[in-house]
Amino acid sequence: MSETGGGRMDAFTHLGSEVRNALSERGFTTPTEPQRRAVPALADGRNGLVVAPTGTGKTETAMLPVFDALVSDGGPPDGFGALYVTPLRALNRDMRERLDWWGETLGLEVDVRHGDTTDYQRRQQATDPPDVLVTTPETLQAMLTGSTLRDGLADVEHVVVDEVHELAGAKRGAQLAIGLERLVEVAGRVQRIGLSATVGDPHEIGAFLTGGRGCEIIEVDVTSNVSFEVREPAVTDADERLASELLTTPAMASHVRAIREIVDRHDSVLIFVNTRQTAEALGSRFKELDADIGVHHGSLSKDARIDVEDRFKSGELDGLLCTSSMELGIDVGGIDHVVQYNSPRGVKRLLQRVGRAGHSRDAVSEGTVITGSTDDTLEALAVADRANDGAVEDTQVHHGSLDTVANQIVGVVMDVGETEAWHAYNIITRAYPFKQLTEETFRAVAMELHRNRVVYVDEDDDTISTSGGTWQYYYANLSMIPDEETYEVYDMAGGRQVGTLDERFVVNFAEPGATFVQRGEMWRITNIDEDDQQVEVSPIEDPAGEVPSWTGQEIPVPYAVAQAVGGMRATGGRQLGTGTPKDAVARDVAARYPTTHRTAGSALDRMARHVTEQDAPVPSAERIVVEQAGSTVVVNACFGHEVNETLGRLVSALLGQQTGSSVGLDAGPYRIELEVPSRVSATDVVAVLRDTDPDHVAGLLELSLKQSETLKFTLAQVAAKFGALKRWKGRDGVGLSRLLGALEDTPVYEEAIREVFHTTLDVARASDVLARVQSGELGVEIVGERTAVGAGGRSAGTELLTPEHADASVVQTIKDRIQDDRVKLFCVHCADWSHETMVRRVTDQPECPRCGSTRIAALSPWADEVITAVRADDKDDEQDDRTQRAYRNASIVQSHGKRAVIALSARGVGPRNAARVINRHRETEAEFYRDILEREREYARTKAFW
Amino acid sequence: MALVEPVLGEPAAVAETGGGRALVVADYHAGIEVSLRRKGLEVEGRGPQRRRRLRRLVREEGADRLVVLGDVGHAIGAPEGAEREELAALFDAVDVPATVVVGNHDSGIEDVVPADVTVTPSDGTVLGDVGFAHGHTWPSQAVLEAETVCIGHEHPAVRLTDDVGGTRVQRAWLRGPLDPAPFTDHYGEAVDAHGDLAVFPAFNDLSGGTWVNVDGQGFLAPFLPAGCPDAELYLQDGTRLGRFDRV
Repeated sequence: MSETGGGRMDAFTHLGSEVRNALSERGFTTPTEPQRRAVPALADGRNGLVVAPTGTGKTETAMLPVFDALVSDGGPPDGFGALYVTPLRALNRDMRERLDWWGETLGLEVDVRHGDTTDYQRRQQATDPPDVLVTTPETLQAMLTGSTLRDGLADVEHVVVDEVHELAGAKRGAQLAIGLERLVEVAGRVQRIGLSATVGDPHEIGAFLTGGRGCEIIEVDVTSNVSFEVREPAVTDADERLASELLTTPAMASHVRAIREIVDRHDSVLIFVNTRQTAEALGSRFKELDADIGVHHGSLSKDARIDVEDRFKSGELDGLLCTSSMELGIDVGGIDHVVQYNSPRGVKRLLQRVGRAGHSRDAVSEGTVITGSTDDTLEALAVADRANDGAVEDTQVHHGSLDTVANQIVGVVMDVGETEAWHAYNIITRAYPFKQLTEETFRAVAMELHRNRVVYVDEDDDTISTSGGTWQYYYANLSMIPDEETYEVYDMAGGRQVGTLDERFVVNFAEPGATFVQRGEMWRITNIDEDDQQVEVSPIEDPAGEVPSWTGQEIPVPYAVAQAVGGMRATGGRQLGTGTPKDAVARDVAARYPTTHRTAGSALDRMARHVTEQDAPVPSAERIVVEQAGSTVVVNACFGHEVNETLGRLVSALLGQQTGSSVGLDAGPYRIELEVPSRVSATDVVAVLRDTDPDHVAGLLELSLKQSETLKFTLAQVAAKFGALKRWKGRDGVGLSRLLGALEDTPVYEEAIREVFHTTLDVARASDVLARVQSGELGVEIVGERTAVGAGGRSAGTELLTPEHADASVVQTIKDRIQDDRVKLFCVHCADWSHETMVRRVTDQPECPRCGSTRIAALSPWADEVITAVRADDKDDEQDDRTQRAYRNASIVQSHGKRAVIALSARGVGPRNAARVINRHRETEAEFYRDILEREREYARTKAFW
Repeated sequence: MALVEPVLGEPAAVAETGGGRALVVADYHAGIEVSLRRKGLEVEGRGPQRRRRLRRLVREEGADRLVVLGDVGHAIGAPEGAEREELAALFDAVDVPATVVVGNHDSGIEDVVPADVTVTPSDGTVLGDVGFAHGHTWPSQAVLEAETVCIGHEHPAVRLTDDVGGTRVQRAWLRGPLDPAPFTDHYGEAVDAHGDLAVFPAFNDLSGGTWVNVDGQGFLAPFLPAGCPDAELYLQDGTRLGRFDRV
């Protein structure tokens, strides 16, 4: 949209006199930039997407033209005139206060409806609809099915979707997109207005909002008035003292101190953290220090949240520690500085968070990123640098989610009782995320719902109608947000709760003995109480040398950011490699990036050691470095979480296939850490990268996912949305593995796979990486030790990936069994000596202590008749035969030693088969035992099972 | 050839029953889907697949009798609805005489099965030299004194771990010589339990199992493991894993 006219008041002239008068009364004489640019198009009734930072009057930008339309042309309709849809309930209170003023002034009724609205209010709203209703996507889902409410919804002419970028990337948004099409069925054409924070691809969001009906994009640049600094605090003596007071590390104490100093220097500071675990860890420290800093996150009760918001707004609290919930437009008054604790991981997050500061017009938003490690600092610098360039990440619209289709088929049926299948298909495929949905897939989903008794499909009439389970399903599944339980973490020794854990982690990783970090301390799980949803732990007093099983869910680092870090490493590595002193390189970094000389120096420590002391190649955007120590292989690869997760799963799957063993995988943005079976080396890992056809990646991954814990958990979530799983709680009743078995080959399964691909993998880029490795464009080097850069990662938890035909454990069991078996050694030379022992005690070359011969037969402990036969002077035919066999047995032992004893101890393996097994000259012990196992199975197949 | 020989790759065995040849399976659990649905998991009934598989085994093994070692049904209490239908269809489809040993899930079974199906008491029965019981309670002395004793009930499975730490769980057979001592204790008189015990894997693949090689996963049968302390584990593909307490 181009700038409209020259005068600053021009935008408001597109509005009628009533709204213009109200504007004067409110004291708004000059439109903000988004208002100036968007109001004319919106007042004209067009669809529009307003992309602007929080606090630039976005709400009014959308609502002034809507109010204007409602008060003009004979006043508002009888029903709901406009819906204002917002993803967070917490927003509504504040939004309503702002909208109420306009409503009162213009004589319009503005009301709120969400999960907490009383029954009385609901009835009121149904019989006498307000002119503007503020609501959530889920409440809209419920409203669409009520007959009285549908009468009111028939009058809707405008829908505003706030924070539309948040919704576009989630199944929640995919559901809303269909919900809006269902609204069109009732209301006819509706003007759609989206409000969004900065996104990389506003046109995609616009298409999502409108179902591709055309959308004006009004985008306000935010990068010009933000400023960042990245700082890793230096540990001082005071920090050392603080650390012992807070029972934490000096580094953590320095972070606490640095944040407090920033808060003290300003009036109102928001402190953003990336995970709830971090919020809990940092929050408890501030509490112990009695700092004027409150904690705000999604798990708090509503009352506690409102209380802390109000105390911060009133100035009682100087700092507010918060998670992503505060990125959205909750009004907590003026903010003069934002702290981001640890790298924000992406440009969008940094801009949105820092954008919360300095909202008086034209003021610069200032933010400080406090970092705690080399990776953290370099990444924060890369993100800040990209933010200055305006390189905001694209939002990935959640396309084609089949559980959403299932959910909304039920919705359409609930709206009208019975529908023709093609009609439901048309409504759903009008929504942008479902444009590509085929009729065949749609039918498969409908049939799955039918089988699960959620709807009734009449294939002859081609209709879908309600069944006994429809109503119950729909109201249990109004939301596409997965139902996830939270477990309380309870310190048995200290007798206190230390935090909470998401079910996902409890299911995937937690078992007695597992260790994890919470509140900056390390804990060991002693018990998991499913009934009370409690994880009982004890503190690990001396965590040195302990590797945590997992650390909690991290926000993924995008490919572009990880590549930018790889670029910084390449530059720094080159400078250090050509003899530039670290100090000079640090000065160069501080000149080019928003950080201090000291922080840059600290971030270069590892790389300097890597280059100057180890003389190792630096892993960078142009080079993968694979290093190995013992059973740990680390692939240093700057590709971000999704690509590395993809490559890691690929390597694990193929190594698993080769060895029959599980492989441990821990993928981070800069490293893929693998725990490999013995005899697998870095070379084998590199071979996978060099030899795998890039076109086969998707297929190979799908196969490997079948076995994974990740899939099982997602499957349970998806199954609930298909009505295939109705009352599933934790691991109660139906185990996850049985669930997997029961749902294979259904659309439920297909969707679970699709979701894992969409949310955690990046097959296209991973395939591209393989192609670049294979063309030589990307270098791969192997280092035979752990490097300084390679060892700088933090574990996020190791997942054990087991291949479909995992037989390493069986082979190991057979080996143990044979080693424990008893064998009778008998010297056929003197025929005098025999000795019974365990196979594992047999020497490499058994020798007769009587006569010194090495012609020793390895016999079963019960084979006394063989010994009798050999010793007999006058042999019958059978004894003759036995004696010959004993001689053959002994000659194999003579030439092959203990290996022959092992083979001969196996079940149904006689001298001839033993010779065959040995003559294959297998390289590894596992292969040797696998051959023995094959012989034993053959015996079971052809002779006797037991 | 042993008196009771497992069918390779199947949770079933063939028993020589003195002139006859019986196909033996355990824990069929007809109608298990009904209870899974009650627990909240909607699954399609797999009765037809189970039935086809069993018919095929009877035919391929040339059996002249079917023996089900208990828990042919699933619901505790008299069978009804889908389960009753599946049971009727099952015995209708099997064209050899059938013997059903009553298991803990089988109360009221005699009223459901056709008249030509032999329903034995819950302490089991003997055909030829082979004893058959479910295993949830003590088998009769006659069963225990047979050359081979077949039971179900345990749904034995084994959890194997590789050296990286990955695990897999598989169904398994348990087999070993009986120890008469616990039976003699129980009955208060000498029981000549001198034969072998064979514990069958569950026929129904939607049912759970006992991980017999994992501590804390106790046996279900009141006479195990004492009644067969040297039992060995076998996978269905014929892999002999070794003693259950050392795997």
